[in-house]
Amino acid sequence: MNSPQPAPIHVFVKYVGRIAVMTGRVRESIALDEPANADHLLDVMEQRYPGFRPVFDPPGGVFNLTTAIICRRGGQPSFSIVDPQEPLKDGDVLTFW
Amino acid sequence: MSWHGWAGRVLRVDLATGRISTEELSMQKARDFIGCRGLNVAYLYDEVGPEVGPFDQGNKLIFGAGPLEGTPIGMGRVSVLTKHPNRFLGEGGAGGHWSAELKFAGYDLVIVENKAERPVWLLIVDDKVELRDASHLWGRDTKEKHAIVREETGIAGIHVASVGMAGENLAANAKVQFTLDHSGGKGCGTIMGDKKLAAVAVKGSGMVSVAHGDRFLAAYRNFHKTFDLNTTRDAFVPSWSFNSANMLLELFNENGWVHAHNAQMGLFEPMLNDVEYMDKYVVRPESSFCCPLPACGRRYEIKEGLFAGTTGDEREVGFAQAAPIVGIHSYPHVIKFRDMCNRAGLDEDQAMYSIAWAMECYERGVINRSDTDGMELRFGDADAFLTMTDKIIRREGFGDILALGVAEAAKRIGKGSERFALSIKGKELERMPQRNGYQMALGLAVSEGGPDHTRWYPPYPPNPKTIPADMDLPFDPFKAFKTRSPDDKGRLVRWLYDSRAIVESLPSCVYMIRAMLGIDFRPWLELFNSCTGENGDLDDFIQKGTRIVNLERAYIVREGFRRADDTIPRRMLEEPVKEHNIPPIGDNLEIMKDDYYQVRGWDKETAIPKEETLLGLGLGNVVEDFKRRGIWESTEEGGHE
Amino acid sequence: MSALIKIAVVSADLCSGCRSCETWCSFVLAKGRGFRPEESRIHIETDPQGVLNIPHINCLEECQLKHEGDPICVEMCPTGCLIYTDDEDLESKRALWEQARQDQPLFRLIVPWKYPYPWRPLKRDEL
Repeated sequence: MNSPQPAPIHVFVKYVGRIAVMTGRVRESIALDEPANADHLLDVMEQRYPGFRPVFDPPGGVFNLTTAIICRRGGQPSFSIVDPQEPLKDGDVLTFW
Repeated sequence: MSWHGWAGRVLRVDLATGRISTEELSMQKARDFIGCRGLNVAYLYDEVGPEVGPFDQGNKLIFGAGPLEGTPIGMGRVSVLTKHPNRFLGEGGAGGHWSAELKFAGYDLVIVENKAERPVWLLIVDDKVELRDASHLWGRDTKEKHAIVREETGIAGIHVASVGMAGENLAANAKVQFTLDHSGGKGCGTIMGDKKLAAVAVKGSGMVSVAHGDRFLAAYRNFHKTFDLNTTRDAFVPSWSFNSANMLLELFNENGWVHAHNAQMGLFEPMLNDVEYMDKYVVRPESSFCCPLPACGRRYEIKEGLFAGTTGDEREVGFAQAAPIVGIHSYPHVIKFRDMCNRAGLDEDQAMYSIAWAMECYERGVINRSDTDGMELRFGDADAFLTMTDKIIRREGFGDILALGVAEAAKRIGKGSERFALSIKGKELERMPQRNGYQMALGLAVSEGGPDHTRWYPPYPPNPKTIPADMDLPFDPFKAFKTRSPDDKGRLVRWLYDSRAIVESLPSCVYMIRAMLGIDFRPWLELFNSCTGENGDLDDFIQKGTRIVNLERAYIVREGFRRADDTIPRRMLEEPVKEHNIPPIGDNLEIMKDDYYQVRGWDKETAIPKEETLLGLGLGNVVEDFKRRGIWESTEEGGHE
Repeated sequence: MSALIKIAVVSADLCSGCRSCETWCSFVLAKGRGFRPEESRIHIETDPQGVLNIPHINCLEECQLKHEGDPICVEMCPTGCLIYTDDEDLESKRALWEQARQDQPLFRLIVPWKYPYPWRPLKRDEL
């Protein structure tokens, strides 16, 4: 079976409060290979900002216990991402806080 | 009988005669209503009936501390209460140090009666209490008043509550302004101005007694863990500790909660950024009495450029949220706006929602330059926003109309403009979402004090994974916290109201209701019992909150408020948040109100507490009062809006 | 001989004026019977212009209420303005704080050694 050629999607990311302190910036655009999910995004984050992943996904802990990721997609009501396997779509606006 | 926690004394000041007296606090009242917000309403209910108009001699202004004030739990919280110009409870809390000083001076409450003929100010230094001439203070802004009082008394650590020009000029919702830019009490500044009481300054040197010191210390350390950056399990705490409500800018925007352009839009770009604020304007921390957060309160300063030299203190208000409401993007302008409101004791919500209403009316052609003193009044015009704020403070031209409050202004202008006047019970809205937060919509609608989120805040659950499975909650957390469903909102909002009434009566700061402290009240009970020496159980403790809210409801019922007054602006009921595809609330509000009144034991048709409900809470005096006045027989339908 | 360990102020710029230190100190002096900041061995002086809060420490005795080695005033200080250490350590911590507050405005509000989360210098050109 041929796997489809990965195509990049772009998500827009905002950092709020102490998360912005961790990144040193407040927003950026990130390209991900399709299909992408929250876990992949955290991999990218961890590369850029070592120590980022454990804040949202503590080792052996519960995903997003003391932090949260809000997703706004296509003019629909926003929702919180509570599962690292949550698929991401091109154009998603993700707010980490 | 020796008091622990409570000082046990009430200070009465009659402005008409100059008579100053102290009396013993009623122990029964203290046990039933705790203190601060609760005790205030207990006294106001007994002493200011419906025959007294807000601007009559007989209206009173009450400043309340509580039993835990002066301990590190109190955080300087004061509750100010009066009969609001619109006749509901003009109540508001403020932080700082004023209230702690009042306790150290040995008083639980200060009740101000009647009116002075000429401006006076009140000085309280322990047992030395005196009224002084305030002709040199009148007309000055609040910061000048504080500085003059400090200089005149020579007491560096004195804390001052004062009224600004908005109160002196009787703007509808003027607030009382405390040292360090703490403020509260919508309408209390108006009544304080009407009574010609310029300021109340207080400094105390006594002790707040604690019944069981070891238990109190252990309970405090346990409480403190929620706010310790190393041990907190609440996502809000680390960010709130430094950015306070400015961190909410993006969160409100992302969730469709902002009231951009008078709540015509739920998304605003570019939203002001809290990090930019921190970097350019924040100078150092400045906190309330014993606040455990490092810097929920900060000193700001505009160092250069527009409005350079403007400085002050800010904390929970997230004042940058003013920006989307009137459509502006400039930090210097919102900072200047904040400073103008603080100096004048003008309610920010009144100013911003009134001006936003005027901007919408102008853009829709309902009003034009002939109404606005020749000004273009369009969303996004930051200079016009400040100019109009100043006109409200001075009651000049169109500002004189806006100073009446947005509901009254819309009545005067008419031509359908009432539809854009965002108010509840005649008081301007505050920056709380409704269409995407049904618990908040209900909370705002049923408030006895006009729109006031501190009465039910926070309305979110702790992470459900942290709730112990065996915990017995009075609502279903999985249903009740669903934001766009009316399910189980009655029980949730009842719980939020009752429990927050306790915290505001101890008092403590509502921003301390984080993590499990929002749903588990055993830690609060232990703090209360160990401090005061009381030994009631949890049910008894929660019932005190229920009793306070029922008495507050009884107060506004006696003033003629009914079910029809418990509502939210038409915009929230009828218009969607287009940018986030969130529908209007529609009939769901009435469904939730049915539910709420039923779980409260209030009559569904009228929102009047039933006799058995009041008797069950030990409010027999209210039952007698209601019978004497024929409240249950009356066919009044409210309609104060 | 070991250096003298004492309660010291990192910088008045870090004092939020909350008076936790005053209040808890008075609790210890009153043997847990209550709070009376007037009787405390620490006083926060607020200058009339409100530009600074200045802690004055007048404590020569061992605190009767220590937590993990720190006296209660230091334990309860929310920003880390108060520190219990010797002069040498104080100077090195001050230098650390000075650098941190250049990098990140957050450290105008708390000392870096009390901030338990990762942080990076703020990229001001991106704001």
